[in-house]
Amino acid sequence: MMLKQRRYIFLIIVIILINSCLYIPTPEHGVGVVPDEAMNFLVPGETTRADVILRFGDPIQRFEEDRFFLYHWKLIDGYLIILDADSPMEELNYLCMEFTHENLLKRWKHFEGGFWFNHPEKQIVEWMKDKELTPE
Amino acid sequence: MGFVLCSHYKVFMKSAIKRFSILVIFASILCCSQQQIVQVDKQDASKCLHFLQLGLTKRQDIFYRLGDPKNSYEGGRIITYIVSDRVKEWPNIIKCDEKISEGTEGSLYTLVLVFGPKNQLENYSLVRIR
Repeated sequence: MMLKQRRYIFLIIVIILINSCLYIPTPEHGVGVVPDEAMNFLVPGETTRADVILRFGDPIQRFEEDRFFLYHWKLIDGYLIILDADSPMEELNYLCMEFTHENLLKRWKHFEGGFWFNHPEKQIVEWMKDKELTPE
Repeated sequence: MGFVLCSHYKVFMKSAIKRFSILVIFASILCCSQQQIVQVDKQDASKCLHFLQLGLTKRQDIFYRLGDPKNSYEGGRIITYIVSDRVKEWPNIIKCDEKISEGTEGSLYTLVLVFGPKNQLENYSLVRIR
C-alpha cells in the first residue's frame, strides 16, 4: 500500500512539473531589428558614418570618439513558462562597426549571442581590441 | 486515490490548455509585429517634413524649429532627433532630456540631418526605430 501511494505521489509531482513547464516556440520577432539585407549595404572603405546613421539611426553605444558604433537588438524565438512566470527566449544580437579617421567604415561584424547565458560581450571586446585589423 | 489523481489531472489540463491558448494568441500577435529598423521612403518623409529643403535649410533654422538635438556626430555635422507619431501634429519631437520608455506611445523615428560645409542641409532621413 505504501509503495502504491508513493507511486501516486510521484506521478502527481511528475504531472505538476510537466504541466508547469511549457515552451512555446514562435517565429523570430523583436524590436529595432537590423535585417540581414540592410547589412549588405555596409561596404568597408565606401560607406561613411553619415550613411550608417542615415540608414540605421542612432547607435545604442558609441566608443572612442565614435570610432566604434554598436547597434543592439533582441530576437525572441519563443516563451518559456515555469509555473506562472513566463520568460522570453531571447537571442542577443549586436552589430559592431569601426570607422577610420576619414569617417569611412573600416570593418563591421554581426554578433549573434545565443541566449542570456551566452552573452557575446567578451567577443565584442576582443573584436574591438583586434590589433591586426586596427593598427595604432 | 485514483479519483484524486484523476481530478488533479483534469484541473491541471484545464489550466494548461487555458494558458497555452492565451500564449498562442499573445505570441501570434507579437509575431505579426516584428519591428525592423526601416528607412522611411524619402517622398513620404518629405511630405511630413516639408520645412526641410536640401541645400537651403540652415542649421540655425533647424535648431530654432526643433530645439536641441538628441545626439550629434562629427563635430555637429550630423545631428539626430527622436520623433514620435503619438499626436497628429508632426513632427512631435521628443526633447533631448526626455527619457523614452517602452511604454512611450506610438511609433518612434530617428530624424537624421546631415549638414554641408556652409551649414546648409545636405541630406536627411527618417528611420523608424519602433
